[in-house]
Amino acid sequence: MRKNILIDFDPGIDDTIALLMAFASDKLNIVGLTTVFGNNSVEVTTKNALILNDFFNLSTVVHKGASKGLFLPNKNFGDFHGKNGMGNVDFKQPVSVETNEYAWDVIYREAKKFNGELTIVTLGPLTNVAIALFKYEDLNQYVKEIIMMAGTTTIGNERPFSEANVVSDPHAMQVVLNSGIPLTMIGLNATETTRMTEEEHDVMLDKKEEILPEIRGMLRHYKNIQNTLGSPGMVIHDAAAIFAVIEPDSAQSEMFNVEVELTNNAMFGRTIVDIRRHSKLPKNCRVVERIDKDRYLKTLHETLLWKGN
Amino acid sequence: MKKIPLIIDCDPGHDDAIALLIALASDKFDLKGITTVGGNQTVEKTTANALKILELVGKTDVPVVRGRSNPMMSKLRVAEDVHGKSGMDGPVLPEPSAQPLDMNVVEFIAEQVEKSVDPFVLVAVGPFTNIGTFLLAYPHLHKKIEKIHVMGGGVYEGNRSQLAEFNVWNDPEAAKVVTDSKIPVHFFGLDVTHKALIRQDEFHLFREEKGPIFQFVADLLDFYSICYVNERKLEGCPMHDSCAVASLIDPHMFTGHESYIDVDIEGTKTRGACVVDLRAKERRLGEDNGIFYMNVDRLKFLKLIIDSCHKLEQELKN
Repeated sequence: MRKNILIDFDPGIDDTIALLMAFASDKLNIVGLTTVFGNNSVEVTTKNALILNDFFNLSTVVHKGASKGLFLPNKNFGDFHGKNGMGNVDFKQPVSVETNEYAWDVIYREAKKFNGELTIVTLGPLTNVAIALFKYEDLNQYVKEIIMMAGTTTIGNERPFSEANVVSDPHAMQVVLNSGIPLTMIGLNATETTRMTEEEHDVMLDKKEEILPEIRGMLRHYKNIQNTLGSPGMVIHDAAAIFAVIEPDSAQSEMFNVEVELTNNAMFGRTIVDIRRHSKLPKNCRVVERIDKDRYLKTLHETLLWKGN
Repeated sequence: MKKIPLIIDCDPGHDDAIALLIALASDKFDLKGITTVGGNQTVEKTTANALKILELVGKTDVPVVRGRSNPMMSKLRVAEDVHGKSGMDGPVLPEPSAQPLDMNVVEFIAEQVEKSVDPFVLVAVGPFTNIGTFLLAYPHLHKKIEKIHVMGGGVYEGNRSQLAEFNVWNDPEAAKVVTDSKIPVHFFGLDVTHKALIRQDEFHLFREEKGPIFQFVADLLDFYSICYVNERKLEGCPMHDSCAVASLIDPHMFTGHESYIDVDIEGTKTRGACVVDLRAKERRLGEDNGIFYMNVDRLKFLKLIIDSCHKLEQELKN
C-alpha cells in the first residue's frame, strides 16, 4: 500500500529533485503540495511548485503558505538557489494556479480525511505546520507522523550549528517538537552521508544525455555553489530526505530529545539533540544518523531519468 | 451614528466582567461575539464565566466562542491568586444554561471580519493567543482590521515579573504577532490601568444600588480587593480590561504616546515585557505602530462604569 504524504516545501533545487523522486516512486501517494518561504519568497516558491506541476505533468494541487517566520521579520533570501530559486534555469510561466486555500487549512483537512494515515514531509521551514497546530488544537490526533528535512546533530550551514530551515523559523520547529506527533528529523548530519564525490557526480550527470537539460542546469548551479562554499562534490539534501521517506529501512536512526535554541545569539536555531546516555528528557524525535548511500544513488539515478507523467 | 463592529477576546476574570458590562451597555458597538481564551483561568472556566455574565444581563443573543487553551509556546499559567478557583470568585451566579458556539475560534473571528462592510475593531484583554493565531492564519484579513485595543504590558512596571504584565507574560509570542502585524495597536498597560481604580471608599456606590448587576459588581470588587488592596497595596481595584473598552466609547478619557511598540520574547529578565520606544521619532527602533496609554480621567471612567450598570439594570427591567 502506498504511503499517503503531503509535501510542504520551498522549491528550491533540492526540493525539485526531491519532488521528482517522490512522484517517480510507486511507494507514495502524494495528496498535495503546500509551499512556504525559505529558499526564496513564498511567491517564488509557489510559482516554482506550479512550474514543476506543469513541466512534469504532476496533476497535483498547490496551496500557498507562510511568507515569513512566526515571530521573525521578513527574511533576506540569498542566492544559493539562484535568483529564481531554480538555479537560474528558465521555465515557462506556469499555467496551473494555486488554490485559494491556505497551507495550514489543507494540512488539517487532509490529516482529518486520512484519519491517522497521513505523513507530512517538510522540506522547508516548519511555519505552515506550526500555524496548523496553533489554529487546530486537535491536529496532533490526526497526523500519523511528520518527517522533516531540518536541523543537524553536528555542524550547521546557515550558522555554525544551525541548519537553514530551522534558522528561518526556530519557534515553528519547537512548536512541532512540542506537538506530541511522532517525528523524524533528517538533518544535515544525515543528508551529508549521501554526499556524492566529484567522480560519482560526473558519472551520474555528465555522461547521461538522457537527463533533461533543465534538471542538469539546476544541479550544475547547485553543485557550483556548494563547491564555492568549500564543500566538494554535491549533496541534494531534500532528495536524501525523501529517499528516507520512500525507503525507511535505508535510514539508521535513534530516538532523542530534541529542542531548538530560540535566543537570537550565535546558537539561534540550533537543534539541540540530547545524546547523553543518562538523559532524562522525553525522547520526542527520531533522529536519522545515516542513509544508505548506494541505495540512494540508485534511486537518484532513476529519478534523474524520469521525464514526468 | 454607525456602530463599531467588534469582537471582544477575553478571559473573565473580574476586570473582564466589568469590561463586558460596559460593552454590553453601550449603543456604540455592534458586538459580533465574545471569544474566550485560557488566561486568568482555564478556557473552560473563562468560557463558562462569559456565558454567566450574558445570562445575568439577559443578552444571550451575543455568541460566545471558546478559544485556545494554551499559549503558543508553553503551558498556560492561570491567575488563581487574583481571580480565584472559578476565575470569577465572589459573585454567585447560576451555572449557564447556554453552550458556546461550536466553532473554531479563529474561523469565527475570520468570518465576522470577512463579512463586515465597515473596518473591524478587535478588543483583546486576555493572553493574545486567539488573536495572534487569527493574524497568522489569515494574513489577507489584516487590512480589514482598523485597530486592536488591548489590555496588556506596561512601560515601567509589570506584575508577573518586574517588567512583564500577565497577558503578555503568558504568551509573549502571540503578543509579538500582534505588534508585528502593523495593525494600529492601542495598548492599555499597567501604567494606566493602575490609575483606573475603583477606590475602596467607592465600593458602596455599587453595593447601595439594589439591582442584580450592581450587586454583581460589588461582589466582584469585594473579592478582587483581597488581592489588590490587601496584598498589592493599591487604593482600590484596577479596572484593567475596562480601559480597552471605555476608550472606544470616549477616546478623550485616556492619554498616551504614539510609539513604536514591540514585545521582548527572549530576554532572560525581560521576556514578556513591552518595548515601548518613547525616544524622539528620529531615534526609534521602528515605525510607530500604536499608542501606549499612560493616563486616565478617573472620575469620568468611574462614571462610565456606573452609568453602564444603570443602563443594564434598566434594560433588565424592561
